[in-house]
Amino acid sequence: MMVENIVTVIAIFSLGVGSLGVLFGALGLLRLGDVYQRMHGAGIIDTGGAGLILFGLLLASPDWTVSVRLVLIGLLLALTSPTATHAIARAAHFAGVKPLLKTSPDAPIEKGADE
Amino acid sequence: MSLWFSITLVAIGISLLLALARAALGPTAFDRVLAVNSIGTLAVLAICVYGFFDGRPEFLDIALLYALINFIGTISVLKYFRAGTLGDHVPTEKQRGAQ
Amino acid sequence: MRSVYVSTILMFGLWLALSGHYTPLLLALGALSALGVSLLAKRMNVLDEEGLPIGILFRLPRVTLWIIWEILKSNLGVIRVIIAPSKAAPQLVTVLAGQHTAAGLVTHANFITLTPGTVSVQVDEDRNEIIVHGLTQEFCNATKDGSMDAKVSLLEKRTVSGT
Repeated sequence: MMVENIVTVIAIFSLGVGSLGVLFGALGLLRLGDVYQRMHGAGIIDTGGAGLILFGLLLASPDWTVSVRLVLIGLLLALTSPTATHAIARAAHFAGVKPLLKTSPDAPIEKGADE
Repeated sequence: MSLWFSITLVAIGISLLLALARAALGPTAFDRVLAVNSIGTLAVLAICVYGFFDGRPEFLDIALLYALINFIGTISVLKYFRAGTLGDHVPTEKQRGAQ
Repeated sequence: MRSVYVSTILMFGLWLALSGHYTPLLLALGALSALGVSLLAKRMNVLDEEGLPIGILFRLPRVTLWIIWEILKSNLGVIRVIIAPSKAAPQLVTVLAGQHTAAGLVTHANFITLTPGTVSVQVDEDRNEIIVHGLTQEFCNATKDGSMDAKVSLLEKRTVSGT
């Protein structure tokens, strides 16, 4: 009984923090300066927000088949979301979208250097 | 517990609206693709949480498929931007320059 | 042929975990489809050591725990920037990758993108360089200090010795 209570509290905490993470990530998607910066906001949704919400659901899952699916969804998101983000960054870079930079970069990139 | 699931759902819904605003505002096509990708991730989460909220965990199968299709969709849209085609034929540098 | 057996067993395990129906007919059909998919994968030549790195599975947990901790830390950092967008000082930096295989380089780039605050923009396979867009100076420094490079190299070494 006691253990069950603690698990429920952790699940609720995880769901709550995950919701906050998702909200902040979406806010970043809206507020930050250019495409490259917004990717960091999307990164919060994909990692912190999704991870914590799925973890909370995992603790609240009624039986093991549900847990297996949750773990699979988490693995899939962890593998695919950085790949998709990198694909967007690379495509934007090759399309000639220049990032806003605060200071002089120590690696000025030549456009289309590897083609 | 049901209360907390619904609170999470509301948070995901608000985030969806914010991401939708970014998809509408642009300004570049890549902003829109990024926003649509995030909307996909949020939809996966929303499907999962709704399955728990409703007590029907079968929804997780749909979420699994949605996660797969979201990734493939993003990649294929980007490939279309880059190459102008979805098949194996990738235009050479000269052809692309002529476009 | 060994890889076909291993992948059939792994896929049948996945099928068992996802199916939830355990009658003899369905079990046989599941095993048959797992075998069919493995044979197709063999025919497509995607069943090499890179597609099925068995050795990596034993070294993965430690690196996974480390990357989760890193992700949580940098999440807080990015949220701080989102609250005050004027703090953002985006930078492009070049990170040297110590990996020797394409899979290792891809893993490194994926880890960089997986931690919020840094996104790998371009991967140069010839020069073993990854061009990284960082949200602030701290994120760039954290990526460049070599700790992530060391972790990925650890994973990679096990993969190579596993062949």
